[in-house]
Amino acid sequence: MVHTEEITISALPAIAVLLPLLSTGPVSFARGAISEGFRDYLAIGVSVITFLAVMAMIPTLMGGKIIEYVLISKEVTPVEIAFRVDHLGLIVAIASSFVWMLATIYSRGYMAHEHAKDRYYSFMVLTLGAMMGIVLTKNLFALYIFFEMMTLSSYVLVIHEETKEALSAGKKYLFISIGFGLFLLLSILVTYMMAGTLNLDQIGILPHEAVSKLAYGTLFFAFIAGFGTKAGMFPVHIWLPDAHPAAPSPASALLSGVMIKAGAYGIIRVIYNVFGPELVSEIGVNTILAILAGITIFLGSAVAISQKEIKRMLAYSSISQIGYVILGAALLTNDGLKGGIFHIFNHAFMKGCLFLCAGAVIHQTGLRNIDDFGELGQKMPVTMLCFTIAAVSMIGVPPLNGFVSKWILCLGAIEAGNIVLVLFVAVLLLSSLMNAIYYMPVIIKAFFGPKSKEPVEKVDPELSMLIPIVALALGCLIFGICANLPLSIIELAVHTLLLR
Amino acid sequence: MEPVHSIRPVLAILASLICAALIVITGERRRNLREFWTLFASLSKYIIVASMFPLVYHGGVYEFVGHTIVPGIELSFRVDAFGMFFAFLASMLWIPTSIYSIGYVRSLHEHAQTRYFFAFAVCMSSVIGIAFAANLITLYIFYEMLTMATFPLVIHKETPEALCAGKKYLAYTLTGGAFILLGTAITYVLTGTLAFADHGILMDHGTPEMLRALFVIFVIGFGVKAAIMPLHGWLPSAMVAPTPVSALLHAVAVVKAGVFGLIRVVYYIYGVDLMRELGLGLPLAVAASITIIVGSVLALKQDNLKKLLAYSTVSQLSYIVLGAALLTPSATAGGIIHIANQAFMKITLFFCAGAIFVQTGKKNISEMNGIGKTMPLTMICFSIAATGMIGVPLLCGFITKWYLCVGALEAGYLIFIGVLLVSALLNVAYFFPIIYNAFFMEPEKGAKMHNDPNWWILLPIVICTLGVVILGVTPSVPYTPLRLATIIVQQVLG
Repeated sequence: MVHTEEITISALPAIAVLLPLLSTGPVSFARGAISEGFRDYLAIGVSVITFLAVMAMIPTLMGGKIIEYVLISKEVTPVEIAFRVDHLGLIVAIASSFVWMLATIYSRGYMAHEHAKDRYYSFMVLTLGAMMGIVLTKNLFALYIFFEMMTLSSYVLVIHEETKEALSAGKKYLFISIGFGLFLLLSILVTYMMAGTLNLDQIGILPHEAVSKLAYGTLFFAFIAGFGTKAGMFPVHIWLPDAHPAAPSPASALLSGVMIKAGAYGIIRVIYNVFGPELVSEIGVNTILAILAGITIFLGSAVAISQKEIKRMLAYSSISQIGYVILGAALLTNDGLKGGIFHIFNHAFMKGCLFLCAGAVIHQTGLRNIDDFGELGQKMPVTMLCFTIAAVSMIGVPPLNGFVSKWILCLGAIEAGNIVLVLFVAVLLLSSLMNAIYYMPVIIKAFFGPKSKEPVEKVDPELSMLIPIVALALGCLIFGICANLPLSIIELAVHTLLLR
Repeated sequence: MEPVHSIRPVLAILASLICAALIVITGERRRNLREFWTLFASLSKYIIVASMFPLVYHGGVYEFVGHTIVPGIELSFRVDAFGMFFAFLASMLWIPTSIYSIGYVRSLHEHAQTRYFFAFAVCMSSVIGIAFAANLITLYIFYEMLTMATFPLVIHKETPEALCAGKKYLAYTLTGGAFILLGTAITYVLTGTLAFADHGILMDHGTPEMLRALFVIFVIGFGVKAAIMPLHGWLPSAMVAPTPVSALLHAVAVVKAGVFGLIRVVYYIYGVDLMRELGLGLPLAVAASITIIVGSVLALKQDNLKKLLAYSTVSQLSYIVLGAALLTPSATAGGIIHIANQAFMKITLFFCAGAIFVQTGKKNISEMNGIGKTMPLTMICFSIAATGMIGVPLLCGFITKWYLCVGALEAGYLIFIGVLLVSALLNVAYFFPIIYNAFFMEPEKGAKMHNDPNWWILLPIVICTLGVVILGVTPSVPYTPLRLATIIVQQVLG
């Protein structure tokens, strides 16, 4: 069945990608040319416009159309450079650009006394451009280029502190990402040779039964190795717990809340657009992928329990949560995919909020160790309240957004019918209990821990930091109650990817 | 009768939620106004719930179709006879508990009183939400909300012991919650609906093996709060909470929410016919019987009065489960009225334990010799409630036992009558020494003399004791729990 989709031509995706990419230079020279404040506001302005450009695409896509924009046609270059925004790309772009905008605003307060801010801000906008490129491009090869670009530019954010630890974390990050990135390049080349195209506008570009199942399986896992590294999937997650906490907190929020989603997004594209659900279930690799995702979920949570440092704990929690997304994608059911994509969206809010809260605590009090968090609820009531909302949402308590994606994922796993996959319902529920084991102590410590007699001073951070935190926490609540807003887009995405 | 659309179920939930916000805004500095909000919330909630009583009593149903978050997650409310039974009971008992709470925390100069009253109000909203839920997912949402809202009350003292109990509480209840969610999701995939129906929704869906497994999942899930052994471990630990919390929440609201959910599953998700077909009643009845006996035996060994009452609660809750599991009209009625009867008796007992603690600072039974002479009114009420527990006629516990015994005969399982008799004897064995020591032993020489507490504390005790007597003497006048229970039985078994 050939599905004809209506295509609208619009320059909005080009703006969302090129504006931040091209602003890198101006941002890095803005302080020298004009003033420090101008540089900060320029970076914030770029992120706001990017977000608005993404939001402006919503009405067109809600109308069931797809946006395409050819930047350089085939008549000029051998490979066409084009953008394509479908519903999957849009939903990831919305969450990413929104969290990015808030993290940039937050940076103004958080980074006020840091060094090398020119570098920081210019690489923030560069990485934003790369991220937008990944989700808005039409072509798998272009996706790869943006993907590598994001790796390189986020490396600069990881090592920002320039301490010995940060540098070694950065080194690990760079070597592993680029190393496994080569697998990605190789598998893209093989795909191109077999399929003759790398466009992401079809379901399953690889021909059925062209090669053996084993060969296809190898190709599949070469892809997974490449994208899974960035996603923090077991067993290629090893760089993540060092790199995410090493970065300054707003960058950690982006690394954990947004950038690992680029990997998950890539995996969804590989399963549904490159291989197609039929071929994947034919060669049976989705079960293996689901098992790997299950291990990722468990491992991340289990290690998070033993962490004492807040940011490291959050990083391990991200590993576990990305497992939900990959699991959802690997189930190959309607609700599974829906829950997975929704979790990309929700986790951006939850983890973004948690990292920004952790950053606020570090910035205001210098505390990193959870054991020292006593009385924090009295000292920083607003921050810790938002932390609590996001953490409880992580645990999956209704009516917050984490609950909704967990519910849909559970339905998806039961729907799969296959007994191995049904077992993953238990994995999901057990993992949410494990989340409670490591998040509740933080909350209890902060609000109910032993108190000293003297009245405590309130040290909630300044507004530029507080507003992003509150906005993300409210997001957790709003998208828990009005889950239909993002889900209406996600349903269209699932419809294109799975049911066509 | 056609369901009546009404916003009143939502109002009943919101009444205490709004007051919870007002309590926080008012804060510690204007304590009297803050306490006014608590009393106002409990009264207004009771009035709203009571206003729906007449129609429901005559077989009507109120409905409120709410917001659908995603397919399957629909927040809707439905006030049927069973929901009304639980909501009416909980909202009625919240009034004396509020009065008692105020007296209790002020007498003991408790810290963080605003947090205490706030959490209490949120708990009551959740309980009414559970009672009025029209489907499993709404019930689950309020069930989890109840867990979260009770937690600050359990760890109120913030001592290491309290924090440890809190951890245990969360571990048990969140695990239970996860099982309920699992069961709910499976039910939804099987049937495509989660709405409670008088004769169940699972008939003709799924294989028998699957339905049996699903039932086990539900029993584990709700069994945690219903304290079915071996899932009861959190309840005795949670006794570290302030006494009004133990009284209303851990003897009435929270544990009954578990039992309520279980009965909803048995009669409104599975339905009597399916339960009989699958043969699920008997195993549940056996589990309940074991809990009844073992809970009572464990109560025998306790010296801490509140711990003893906690084990007694464990045992008594399973009377309700037993009644539901026997699947006969009288047994079901007996189980359901025990929700009310046990509530009145146990809340009285806890109130008395709290009164003793406030006046003397004593927690252990071995220190309470001769206390009946100095605190006569308190100990008389205690004795009445304890005698009711044993099942002496003219007190409400007897009514339960009578119906349960008749129900066991109807079902043809005489063994359960034996269970009830053994349990009554065990009740005598652990309650009578307390009464005997209080009235007939001499207090230690040189011990300070204490009087009955002030009327903030004493009045709720007396009111609840009157309830125990009235429900025992006139069980079948109109509008009593027994009548309502009969209506429920007609709906689900008729």
